Amino acid sequence: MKRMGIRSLPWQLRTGILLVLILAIGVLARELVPRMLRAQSVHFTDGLLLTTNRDRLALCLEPVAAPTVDLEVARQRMDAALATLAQHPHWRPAGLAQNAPVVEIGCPGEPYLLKPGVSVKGGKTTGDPVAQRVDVPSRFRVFVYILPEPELARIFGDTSIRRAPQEMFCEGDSCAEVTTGLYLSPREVHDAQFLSDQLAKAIGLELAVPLDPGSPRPDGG
Amino acid sequence: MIRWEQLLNRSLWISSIVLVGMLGTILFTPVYNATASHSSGLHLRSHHESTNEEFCVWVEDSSIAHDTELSRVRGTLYLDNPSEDWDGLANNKVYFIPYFRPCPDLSFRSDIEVEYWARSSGCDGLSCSWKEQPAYNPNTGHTDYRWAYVRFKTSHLTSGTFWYHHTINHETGHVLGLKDPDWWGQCADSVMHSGVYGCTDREWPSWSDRDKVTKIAENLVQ
Repeated sequence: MKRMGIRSLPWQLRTGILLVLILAIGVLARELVPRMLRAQSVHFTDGLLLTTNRDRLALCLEPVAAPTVDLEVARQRMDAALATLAQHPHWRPAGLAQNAPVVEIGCPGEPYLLKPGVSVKGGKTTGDPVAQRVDVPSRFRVFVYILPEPELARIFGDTSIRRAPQEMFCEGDSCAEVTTGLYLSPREVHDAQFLSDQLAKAIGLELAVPLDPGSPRPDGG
Repeated sequence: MIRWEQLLNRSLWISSIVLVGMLGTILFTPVYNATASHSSGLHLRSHHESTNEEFCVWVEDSSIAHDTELSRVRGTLYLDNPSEDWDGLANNKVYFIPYFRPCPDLSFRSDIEVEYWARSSGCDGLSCSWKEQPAYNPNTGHTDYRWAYVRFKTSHLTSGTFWYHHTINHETGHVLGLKDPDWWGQCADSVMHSGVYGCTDREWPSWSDRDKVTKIAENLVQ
């Protein structure tokens, strides 16, 4: 029996089939390449870890011109505060309970609010995605900086907000804060209630600034 | 057999194997952030509440007059085309309230949900948006943000009415939780699918844009 195969087809037909196959490969590549890129890269995630490259809540501790701070004691204070916050009703649903939190001494970045030209205006600590954008967010969700009280007063004035964006991450044009800087004095690190309250706001268990209902539209529009 | 025929046959086999492999990869690879999703997953806390979206504007470098930027933003958000803009969606869960002084001059600035900035360089040559202060929302079961910012490249506000309407609506779409296409050429009838991605620019949000924002506000989609 004569063997039937692709070789038995006329060369014109084989050429046409080849062109169709190449076209199909091109069409599928437009779907496959972005999908594979997305599968490999970091993404935003729901929950308070915020990005897919974090498997636990990790905080770092860095003194900034604060030579009197006993860092080991400060680390223990933060461990204790986190143990308290683990009882917060939002802790588990926000995805923080899957692994035990850690606190490490030494942060991988300088405080954003101490960079030249950066300041707190109108009581709001705003960031800049151009200056703060990272391709891979730090494994630390919060950078805790310990500063002398006069320096904190100079930076923040009379605002009670002590947190500021430290790192921004973008997917296309959609950018957001993924790492937070928290600025405290040595005395405040030893104030258990204050420390717990500030960490709750920095991590996102509570809003740092509650919603304000606002006023009617001034122009009646 | 002629040499080029051998090449043709080999090409056919190789192409067939590659095609089968790609089909298998597409079918069995988990999809992250499915392309059907229009939503970035990043939106404001106020979007879910009856709290208004208070906004202010700020010109970072004197590249445009403050009153001009304010007029164009305010006009686009709720004056120029009330039947097609974002304002009033989800039974006024999306509702814009302006403050007329520059953002840094407001003593209650931390209460302002959205700030619209302008700078001649924009964000490395583009207009962009970002969000700050993530927090867990127990009412919706997910994380949302307290503040949003838009930085316009100034020329996007001064190149004619169509362009500033498009840019303001596009960036506000990001504020409200919508995202850009996943890749160049992924086009849809959406103010989010712009010419930068090889699509046709829209001046105003489409019906599907507004529907998606409504669903986000109602917590019917992440």
